[in-house]
Amino acid sequence: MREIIALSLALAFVCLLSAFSLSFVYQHSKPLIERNREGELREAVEKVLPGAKVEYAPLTSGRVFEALNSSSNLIALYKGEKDGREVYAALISVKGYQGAIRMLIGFDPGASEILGVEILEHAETPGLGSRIEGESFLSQFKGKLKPKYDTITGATISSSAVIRGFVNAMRAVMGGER
Amino acid sequence: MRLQNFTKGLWTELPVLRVLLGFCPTLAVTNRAENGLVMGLATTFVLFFSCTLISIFKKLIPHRIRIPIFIVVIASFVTIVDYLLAAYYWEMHKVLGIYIPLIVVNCLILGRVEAFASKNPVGDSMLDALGMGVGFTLVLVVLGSIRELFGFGTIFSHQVIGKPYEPMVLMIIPPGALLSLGLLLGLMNLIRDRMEGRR
Repeated sequence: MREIIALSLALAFVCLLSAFSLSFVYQHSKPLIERNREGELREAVEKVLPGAKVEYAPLTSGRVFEALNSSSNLIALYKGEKDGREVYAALISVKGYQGAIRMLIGFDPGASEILGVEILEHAETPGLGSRIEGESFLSQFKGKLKPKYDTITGATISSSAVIRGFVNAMRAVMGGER
Repeated sequence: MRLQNFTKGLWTELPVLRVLLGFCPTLAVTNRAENGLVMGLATTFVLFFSCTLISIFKKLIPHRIRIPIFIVVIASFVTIVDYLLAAYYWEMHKVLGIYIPLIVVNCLILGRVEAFASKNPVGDSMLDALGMGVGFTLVLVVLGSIRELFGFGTIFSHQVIGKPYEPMVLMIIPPGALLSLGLLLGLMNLIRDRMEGRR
């Protein structure tokens, strides 16, 4: 009995030391990690909404938010302004071949126009599914919503996942205005 | 301190290829040379500090709970690496992702701590950890270079094979890892047999 208590105390002491040193490193690196994460998002938002002034506080209400939230797996929605028009950047998640694909769609609901699509994060097969990041695939989404989009040969599952996610989200937002 | 404790990690007890330990990260992250290098350096960091710390306090660690204590120490250093990579090397942190936390269960580290650092003087343990870490990093870089060369036509993202080359996707996905590791192991055994045969 006495030995069990002694051993438990020794282990608890080691864990305590570990917790202290980890909290020290965490305090130090947390602001840097958050800055990295935000920088990455900002860079992507600037790509899908070129030249727009964007507020980086995520929206939690409004018609566009309701439409996206009920139709897709919406992570965050940001609102911006470009040439006096309301534009949005929606971060949505779709199920890919090997895990979630997080993609950002920039659009102008008033003009029913898509301004740009970027892939933020994915775990698709390198060399095959990862081609969904390519400009040649993503540029087809710009402009008006089309009835049909091209998949990528050799990456059918990954590219159709992106197309499905995109079409679902954009139909919900723009469908009512046609 | 004996220098041999360092050099044995580079040849006679080379991790992965001679002492068959640490396969999980070896297979998982070596689709590019740079990924292998960063994984190797992260493992070396964890290995060095865990071995040093445990070697210093080896007399104070109760024998019966030594394994849980080793794991707590190793996991702490792995978490530190994880935070530091996310803070200072975000791109690589995104690429390595889940494989960084998995360094905790890299049997190479627990193996060195249990078999060497907990029984030998601090200086020797540091040399041993460094040698093993450098050896492990070398293997990952070599394997990563081979796979990147055939899979992307590049090494460390520098174009090596010209444009008309059609990259072998097989080499960057898991089967390519198993194939190239198997061939590398066979090559190492061949070299060893040749060297021993001549003696």
